[in-house]
Amino acid sequence: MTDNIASGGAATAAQTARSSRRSAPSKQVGALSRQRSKLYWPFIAPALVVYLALFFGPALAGFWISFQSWRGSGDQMQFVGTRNYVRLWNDTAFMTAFGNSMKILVICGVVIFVLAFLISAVLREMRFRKGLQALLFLPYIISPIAIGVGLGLLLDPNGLFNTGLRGIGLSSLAKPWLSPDRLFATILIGIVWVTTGFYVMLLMAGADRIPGYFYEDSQLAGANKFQQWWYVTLPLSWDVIAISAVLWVINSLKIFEFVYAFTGTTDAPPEQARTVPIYQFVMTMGGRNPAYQMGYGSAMGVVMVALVVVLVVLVRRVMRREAVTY
Amino acid sequence: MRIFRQRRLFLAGAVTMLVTAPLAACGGKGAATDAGGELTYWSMWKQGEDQQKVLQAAINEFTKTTKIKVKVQWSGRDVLKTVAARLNTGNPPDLTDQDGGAIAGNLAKVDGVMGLGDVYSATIDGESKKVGDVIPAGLLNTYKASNGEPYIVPYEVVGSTIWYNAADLDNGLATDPPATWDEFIAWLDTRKAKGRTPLALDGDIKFYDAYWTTWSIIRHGGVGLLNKAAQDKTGATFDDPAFLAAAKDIEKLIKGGYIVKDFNGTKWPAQQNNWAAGKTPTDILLMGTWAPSETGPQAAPGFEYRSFPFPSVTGGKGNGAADAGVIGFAIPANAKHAAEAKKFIQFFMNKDRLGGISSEAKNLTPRADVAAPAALADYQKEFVAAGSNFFLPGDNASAVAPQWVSNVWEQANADFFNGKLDAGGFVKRLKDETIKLYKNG
Repeated sequence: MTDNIASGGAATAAQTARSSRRSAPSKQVGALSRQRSKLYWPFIAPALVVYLALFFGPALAGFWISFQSWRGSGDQMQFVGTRNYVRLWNDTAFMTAFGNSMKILVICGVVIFVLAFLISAVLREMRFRKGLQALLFLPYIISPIAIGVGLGLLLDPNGLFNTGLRGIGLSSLAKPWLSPDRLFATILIGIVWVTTGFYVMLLMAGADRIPGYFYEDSQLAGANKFQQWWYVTLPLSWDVIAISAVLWVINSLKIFEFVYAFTGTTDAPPEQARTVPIYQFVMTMGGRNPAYQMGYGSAMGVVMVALVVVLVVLVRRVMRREAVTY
Repeated sequence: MRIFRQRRLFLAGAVTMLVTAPLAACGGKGAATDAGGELTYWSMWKQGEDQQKVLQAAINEFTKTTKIKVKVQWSGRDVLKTVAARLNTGNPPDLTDQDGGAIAGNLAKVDGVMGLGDVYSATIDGESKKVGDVIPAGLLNTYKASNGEPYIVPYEVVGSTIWYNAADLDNGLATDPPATWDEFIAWLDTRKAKGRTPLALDGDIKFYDAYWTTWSIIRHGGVGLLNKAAQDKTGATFDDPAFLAAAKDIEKLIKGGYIVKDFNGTKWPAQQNNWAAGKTPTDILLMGTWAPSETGPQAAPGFEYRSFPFPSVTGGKGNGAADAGVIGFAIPANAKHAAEAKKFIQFFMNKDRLGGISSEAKNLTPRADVAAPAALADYQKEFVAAGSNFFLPGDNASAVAPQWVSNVWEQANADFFNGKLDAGGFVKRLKDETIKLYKNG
């Protein structure tokens, strides 16, 4: 970042630091690195232990449990081989949940990124952009439970939203938004509304690093707004976009609380509104009378982790570009 | 409704549980060292709830008289999940309580409860009656440990019934509630003719849709039929004519225009609150005995809660049955101070102490000699008249086949009530999906 541009002071300072390090006596470096390697394990060990014990261990246990029939603590595990996985494959309720998760990933993903690009391009030009940015980000901070409950009231057949539509003469558009046929579509819209602000923030953070003279230059070359975005913003914030896409893949497949709050009760949400994490909850600890099928739930977890890994690798591969330095 | 409110506080409860400090009972100085001993009680109630206050008062009195120190944790509705976890490590609490179905599903299913036969044959503290004399045996049918002894001692009875506002003379229910299905439909028609949609229903809760189908199946086919069907891998139980007969009755309700507009487009508790407040042209609500306390704050001034039983049907096998679930005590297997816990149960079942559940917490107790709170008087009559012909909410299917309930039963009910299935289609769907579920399970 410092190599070829005007921030000369910083570059020089960095160079000086580097050269002074290079010119240090080699004996001293040897002693230092010896000291360093001596301290390596004492420093690494605590973090490693915590990581292994609290993350790696449970993950491994989850993998193991996915091959068992188990009701949870207090019950004897029973090895069932791949039966849980075969069952997933044949379980239409799981397939529906899986399909819903994929719909959220793809449909909401496309809409969110298109919106985020548009909004960040427009915001760039606007006054009070910081304030507007914060406003957009707001839904992301509010507790999803509060949003779920709030939207439930807002979208009541006689709620604020429909009353508003009727008030401006659009009665024909006023619909029972939470009726079973519309519920999932309403949830998709809700997710877009909640999440877009977060990706606008990310994209703007990427775009903000682009020095203004690139835009000035492209303006002089007669580029219109779209061309500026296409030739300047997009390539120069590509790494941020790639990260955002990865984040979205991971986050979208984990969506749970929003749908749960939205569908209202602690009964199992209706099949047409379930995502995989919700179905996992329903089959393990959730619902009026929990099913306590821990092995089955773990199998779902393993499938989802595998899916996330595959998708993330895929996204990284598709989005790999020569890094543009500036 | 109570169980919902309980579950609504689910997440909060989980957090609360972590921080709940054990409350030492106010025993005198050095009480713990007395010969009285101690017991640990993890409760489903939370600090400040009416039942908690009643129980706490009894605990204080118990410690004072017996010198047994009670270490109590007001854990909240998720209490059994922690109790179940403790079973494995060998140090469960000595006493716990929850809804009967929850105790069955969480503890009894893994043999985690003690048979309480000796409690039932013991004399109640301060009375000459035995515990078994005051608790209707029918309440305990499904709650038997492997040795045949009941493992729950209920102190609260909850069930569903049809609620109405007795102060609204226009509906005529206080003087002449419909006793049979035909009378019921006739009454619905007169209300409909007056421009009303008499049935209030929060259709987003499938369990509430299913109240109607469950009741109708009970009336036609008797207690236990639905429960049996839920576990029948062959699906053959659904060929019982009671299912189709019940479905046809309920189809009449769904297609007859009796159910409140947009019942499936709102979020609970919108419809039940609107019913109580008189904001919708509705008259009745098929709901649990928690309805008065749950909708009370929204109720229109002067609203008088009364109820009548689900109408009987011609030739029905379950015409006298009542929906009666319980909330009660259980003692986890391997509890170290089981004797003290049993002593506390005998102490609490005393008419005056148990009476607090009715007078303070406004709930029905299983003792017929404890007067019900005014709003529950009709239900108490229904409960007593049933003798021992009780069924548990949802015919207890959710305790024996939770996956069937959430994936087959509730989905089919949702589609039935949303008009996607007719009566025949509903029964066929149940049968097909049940077979499919167990083939895959």
